[in-house]
Amino acid sequence: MDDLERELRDLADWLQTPDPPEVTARVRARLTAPVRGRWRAGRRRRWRYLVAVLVAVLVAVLPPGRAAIADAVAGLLRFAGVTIVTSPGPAPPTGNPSPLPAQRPAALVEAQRKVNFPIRLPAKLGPPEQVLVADPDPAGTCRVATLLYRGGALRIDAFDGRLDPAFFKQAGGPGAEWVEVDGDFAIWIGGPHEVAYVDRTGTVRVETARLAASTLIWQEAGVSYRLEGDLTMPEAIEIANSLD
Amino acid sequence: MSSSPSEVVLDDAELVTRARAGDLEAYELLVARHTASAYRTAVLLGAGPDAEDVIQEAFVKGHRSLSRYRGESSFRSWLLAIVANETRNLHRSRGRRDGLVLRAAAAHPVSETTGDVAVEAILAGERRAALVQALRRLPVRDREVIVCRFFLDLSEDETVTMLGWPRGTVKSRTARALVKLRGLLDREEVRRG
Repeated sequence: MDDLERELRDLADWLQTPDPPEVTARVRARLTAPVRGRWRAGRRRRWRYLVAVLVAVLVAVLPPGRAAIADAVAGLLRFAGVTIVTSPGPAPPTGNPSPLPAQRPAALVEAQRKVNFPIRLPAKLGPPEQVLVADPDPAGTCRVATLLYRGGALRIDAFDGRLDPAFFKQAGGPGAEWVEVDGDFAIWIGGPHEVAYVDRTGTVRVETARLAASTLIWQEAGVSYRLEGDLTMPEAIEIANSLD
Repeated sequence: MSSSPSEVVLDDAELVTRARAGDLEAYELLVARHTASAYRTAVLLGAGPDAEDVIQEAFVKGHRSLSRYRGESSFRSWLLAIVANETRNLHRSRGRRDGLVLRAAAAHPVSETTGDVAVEAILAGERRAALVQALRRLPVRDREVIVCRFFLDLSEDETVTMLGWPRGTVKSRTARALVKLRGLLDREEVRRG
């Protein structure tokens, strides 16, 4: 071995290589995703959500040491602008649904002008009994449009799901499960659970925290929907599939 | 790592066999075991801040192609071949390559010493900097083989696997890279007088 070769070997110790990162948990999460093969571009994001769920599931089944890693990666599940706490949390609050910030009734035509996404009606339910808009910016553009049916016992919240941070925060507990709406992933929470609104500043508005009925969350064409009411899962999916 | 003290430490070949049979836990052990050298390889081949993404991708792809690993080379060099390939893909997609960087610490130890020792340390530091400069100017293939042979300390066999070149090419490319490097260093010294 000549001098240059020796010099090169010595140089190896002087080269900057940062400490290696911890990738085991993320690699595992990617490998446990159930769907394999090529992904259409639109599916990628949903795939990441799915990974988040799987990581959350891993938290539950892995021994404590492993759980800490997975937990740091995804303690919460984010889907379609909704954050779902998948771990069993404190007891949910009781009480009546309280309105979203600055929520007010509007005629359908006016409501459509107030939000920057198309309001679509479920053919299964027909025209809503009432339309509400909420949380306007200074220019009057609202973040959320709500369709009410059955005297307010059944509601659909719609909002631009591409915006961050999440608009709603809700406790899923072990009851959250993946279902399908229109061939895409959706989440079904089949029982009463806590839900709170996250306002424009990112603050979780505790005053709007309330106990929600069963809820289906899905996303279509960039708009996120929450369908909430006293429904069975098939009923909810049928309504969601019927969006015009 | 999750292995409890009572567990026997399994070698790579055994873990690969288990992983291939669908044991994710086994593959996870392989990932943990080889993260450091995979990461170092990606950084030295110029992945820069994307090195973490590169190795994550490499580990996922490695798992998918485990069935193609025949065990004729070490698992490490087989894996590093995937890392090298992913790094090349990265360079293609972002159109640049991060150069080798000397540790910042290299500038400091000098202040503690005096006299001849200090002068020697300064000269050694300058020499290292010149070497890094020269390496940056080497063609990609030459640099790759230098990284394998001298920085990662891979054997000729392992380098054959990692770079996917015939053995003769590895030999001749190494020799040629050293000649080029010497030329670049000489020119540099002449220029600085």
